[in-house]
Order: sequence, then C-alpha cells, then structure tokens
Amino acid sequence: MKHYELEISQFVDNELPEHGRKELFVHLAECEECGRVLADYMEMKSGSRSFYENMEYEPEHPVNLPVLPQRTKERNIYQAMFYFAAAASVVLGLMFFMQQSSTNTITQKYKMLKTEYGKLDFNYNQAIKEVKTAEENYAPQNIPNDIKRGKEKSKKAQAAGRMAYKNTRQNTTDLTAENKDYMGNRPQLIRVVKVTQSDYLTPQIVGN
Amino acid sequence: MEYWNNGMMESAYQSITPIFHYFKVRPLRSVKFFLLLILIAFSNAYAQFDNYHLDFKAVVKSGDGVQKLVLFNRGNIDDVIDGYVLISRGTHDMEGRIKKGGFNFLDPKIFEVGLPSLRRTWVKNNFPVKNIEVMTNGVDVEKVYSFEVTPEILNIKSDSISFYIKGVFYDLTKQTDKYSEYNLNYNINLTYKLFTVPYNKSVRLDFFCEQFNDYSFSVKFNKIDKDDEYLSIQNNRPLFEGIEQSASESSLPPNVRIEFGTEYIRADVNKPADLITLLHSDYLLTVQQHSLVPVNALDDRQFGDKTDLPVDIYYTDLSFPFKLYNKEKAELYKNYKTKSEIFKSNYNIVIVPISLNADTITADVLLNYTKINLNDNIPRWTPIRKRVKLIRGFPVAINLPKENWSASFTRDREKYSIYGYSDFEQYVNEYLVVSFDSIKQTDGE
Repeated sequence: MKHYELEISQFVDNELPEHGRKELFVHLAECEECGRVLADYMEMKSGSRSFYENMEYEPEHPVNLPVLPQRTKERNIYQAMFYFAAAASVVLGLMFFMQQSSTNTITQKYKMLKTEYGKLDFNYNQAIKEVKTAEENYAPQNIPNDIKRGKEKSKKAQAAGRMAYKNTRQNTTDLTAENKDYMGNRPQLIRVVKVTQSDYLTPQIVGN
Repeated sequence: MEYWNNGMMESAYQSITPIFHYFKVRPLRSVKFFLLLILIAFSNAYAQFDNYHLDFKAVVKSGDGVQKLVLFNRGNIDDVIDGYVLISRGTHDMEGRIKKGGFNFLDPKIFEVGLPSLRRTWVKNNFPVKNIEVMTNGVDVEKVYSFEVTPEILNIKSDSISFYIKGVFYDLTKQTDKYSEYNLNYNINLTYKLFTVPYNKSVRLDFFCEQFNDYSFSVKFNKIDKDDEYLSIQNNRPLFEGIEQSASESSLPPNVRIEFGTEYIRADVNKPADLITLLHSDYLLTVQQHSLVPVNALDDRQFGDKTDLPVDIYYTDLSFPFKLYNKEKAELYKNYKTKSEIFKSNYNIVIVPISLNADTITADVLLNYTKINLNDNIPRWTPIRKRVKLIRGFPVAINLPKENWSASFTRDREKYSIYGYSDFEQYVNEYLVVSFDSIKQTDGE
C-alpha cells in the first residue's frame, strides 16, 4: 500500500492542490497509519504556533538605531535658510560670471580696435611707399584737369588772396584805403553792446 | 535655541508665517521663486539706463594760460560723441566744437570769422590718400584733433565709466610764406585709447599733449538723473526772479533746441575798445564754450522754491583764474599760499530765448559773477539781464560794466585787501560774446 506522508505534509501546510486532496481523503478513510501521521502533523503545527507567539526575542548583538529628531520649528527654519543660501550662491555665481564676461567684452572690443589700427598702420606704411613712387614719377601732365585750369586762371586771385591774407596779420591802422573800403563794406562780424542802468537786476552794488 | 525662543522673534516670525509656511513645505519652488525675483531685478536695472543722461565735458587749455576751450555735450547713455579742436596758423587761435563727424576740411563754416573768399585747394599729405581737399582762406589750420568718444556703461549703478577715444591728428608740417596749393603738407596720426575713470573726475589725455605741444586736454563724465535736471540758484533771489520773468515772456515754439555759444574775453584796456579791430593776440584771457546745458526747471535753495519753466533755458558756469593787474598789489601777494584758491572767477551765464524769427533769435542774457572766490555771501557784483538780438553767424559782445567792489579779509593768517577798480577793473575791458550755431526740433524729451 502506498503511503501519503508527503501529501499529508503538504495538506497541513495548505500546499496540496485540489485533485490531490480528494485522493488523500479516500486513502485516509482506508489507512489508520496515515490517519495517525496526519494527527501528529496537526499537533506539531499548533504547538509551534503557540511557541513562536510566546517567544521573547533577545538578539545576540544589540543594534543602536539612530534616534531621528522630531520635526521641530527650528529644523524648518534651518532648512529654509539652507535653500535661501543655495539660491543666493547660484545668483552670486551668475553675477560673477556675467561681470567677468562683461569685462571680457570691453577687453575684446579694445583688442579688436587695436588690430584694426594695426592693419591701418600697415596699410599706411605701404601707401607711403606708393606716394613716394608717385612723387618720383610726378610730371605736370599728371595734375588733375580742374587744378590745371584753376592754376592758369587764378594768378590774379592768388595775388589778391596774398594781399588780404597779409593784411589780416597787420595792425588795422596800417590798412590801405583800398582795404578800408573792403572792410567797411563787410557786415559787422561782431556787434558790441553796452550794459545800461536798466539792465541791472538790483541797484548797482558798490563797495564791500 | 534661546534666541529663536525669544518672544520678539516669535512675533516677527508669526507675522510672515504664511510666506514661510509656503517655503517650508515647497523648498524647491521657493528657490525658483527667488531666482525669478532676481532676474526681474536685473532686467529692471537695465531698464534704468533710460532714466539717465550722460554729460561729457572736454577742457582744452593753452600752455600760456590765455586760452581755454570747453566742449560740452549732454546726451543719452550710449550716444557716441564726435568733435574737434583746432589751432589756426599764425595767431594760434583755438577753436572747437562737438559736431557729428568731427572735423571736415571742406566745411566753410569752420572759419567763422574771416574773409569771404574761400577756395578749394589740394594739399599733399603723408597718408594713404594721395591728396586731400581743403577749404582755405588764408587762416589755415595748423593742427587739428578730430575725435570720437564711445562710452561703455555696463552697470548704471557703477561709480566709474569706460570709454574708447579714437582720433586723427592733422599736423601742418611744411609751412611756407608762399601761398601755393602745393606747399601745404599735413602729417596724419591715428590713435585708439581705452580709459576707465570715476564719474565727475577729470582725466588728462597725455597722448594729446604729445601731439599738441603746450596744450592740455582733459575729459570728464557725469551721469545725471533726468529728475535732477534743473538749475539751482543759491542766495540770489533777484537772479531767480529775473529768469522766471524772462521765461514767462518767451514765445518760443515747443520742442526747439538751440545751440548757443559763449565766450568770455578779457582784453587790455589800452588796446582798441571794440572787438572788431582787436586782434586775438591782444587778448589777456579767453574762455569759450559752445553748446550750453538746456534745462526747464529752477530751484531756489534759500526759499525752497522749485518751479517748472514754460521754455528751455540754457546755462553754463565759466571758471578761470583771476589776476591782479596792479603790479604792486600782485607783488604783495605773490607768495601767498591761499592765492590760487581765492583768485578764481566764476561767471554764471543763463540765456533765455524770447522769440524766434527765421535766422534771428531775441534772447535775454542773464549774468551773475563772482570775480574772486570768497564764499562769504556778501554781494559785491551786480547781476545783469541784457536783451540781445542774435543773427546766425554774427555774435554779439556785451561790454561788461566796470564795478567798484572791494574785499578785505584774512585767510589762513594771510591778509588780503583788494580794491576791485584800482587793482583790476581799470586795467581791462571784459566782454561776454554770445552766439548761436543751430536750431533743432526735438522729440519733446
């Protein structure tokens, strides 16, 4: 006869499937030995439950768990201060970075201008050589046409210009009659006006 | 712990509890909130650039102490400022303007007073362009500095300003008595410089002094809050009321901006008594400023009066050294240590435009001066208001009256006794020359 000890153990632990239970119950009805085994398993199970329920646990190595502080008003304030400080640090960092980049902007612009000036200076020196070459090749026929015509026509005008230029440097009492007429025909370039009694805002102050 | 348990802190904490409560339970959101606040604050700071004007002042002085030129410009923070300073050939007269584009050799207006026969001519020069054209009338330009100033302000709250100054020096190197177009030769130099200076502090440009021997060039910047743009009159109620009255008589159309110019001239009394025949080389002192400061509000500190004006008025302060022309008196104070501080003249000039007709402006010129610097509130010099008619291109010179003033005082144990007429007035003729260059329509700023 086959004995169902394994199936009895599974049944006690509630692990026996449904179809196995029917076969076990049929066998228990015929086999007294398996019935005694079932009773033993049941008694052992109920005894172990009461054993664990009444057991007092004593660990071999005591563990010191951290005592979490209570969520107090002071802790909240410190937390808020931490976040404010973090925000302030970010802002200060941004400001410092912007300041640096602004200073760099001015310096970069200056360097750019200096480079531009360096190029102009180089071009200037190159052009000096061209001017000197042009001077060496100078000939009357190279003068622009309008200057050439002007030069031919303006001898009298140049003489008049030289006379007038000379007279502006001399004392006016030395003006010739011709120039006096010229000066007299010009509108007065600066008019001089005098202050009268009616122009004072207060009676004229005298003394200390 | 005891501090936080203090009753006062508790009540303060309670008063802002709602915000703190929000930040307590949502710390990450609080960080975002504060970052957003900071960004808004920064953008607001940059928007404040519009609340300010920038004053630029350049002062050029000759080495002999006779000539002083003040170039002034008030504009927006990011305006580029162009101008020029020139020295004429022969008489070494100094001229200058704040003018867009700087110096232009072909501008006939450069030579304001001179012969009407201007002509164009070619000159040689040591620059890549083979020739440059020049308008010449015999009063040629010996040296010119044409400059461009670019301010760089990154933070409006900062106490200093950076600026680039680039310029061109033209120096007449080949001078000749023969008046021929091919005998003029200009040497040309370019310069680029970067400066960082505090506001309201003069900085001397040494590279200018190297090019212009015996002349000094200094610049100063100042930022002005638009709400503070008013003229403050101190201890001078007659002047305050005089300006108010002139402004009330003005019929000038709105939004008109006039470029006035002024020049103080001190000449030897023994020289011709009118400026037409007087040569520039006969001047004892000349101080000129073109472009005066426009304002439309007055403030009388003594009476606490602040008043808006119906028209823009234009003002400047011309300051220069005072000199005793009585040789014996000058010898007496020659070694005084306080002399340089006391012998400073300050002329406050206010021009109120009254009416405008084509190229003619009628204006009231108000003048208040202190010939020596005493700060003792004793009135010694009479304030003046003179109505003049100005035609563009034709300045008017006001012959200032001779005043009979005196000052006896001790400063730092140095005793002074100055009689205005016998020590100064009888030796000199003083003129205040007023002119205008241009009339512009503004946007109502």
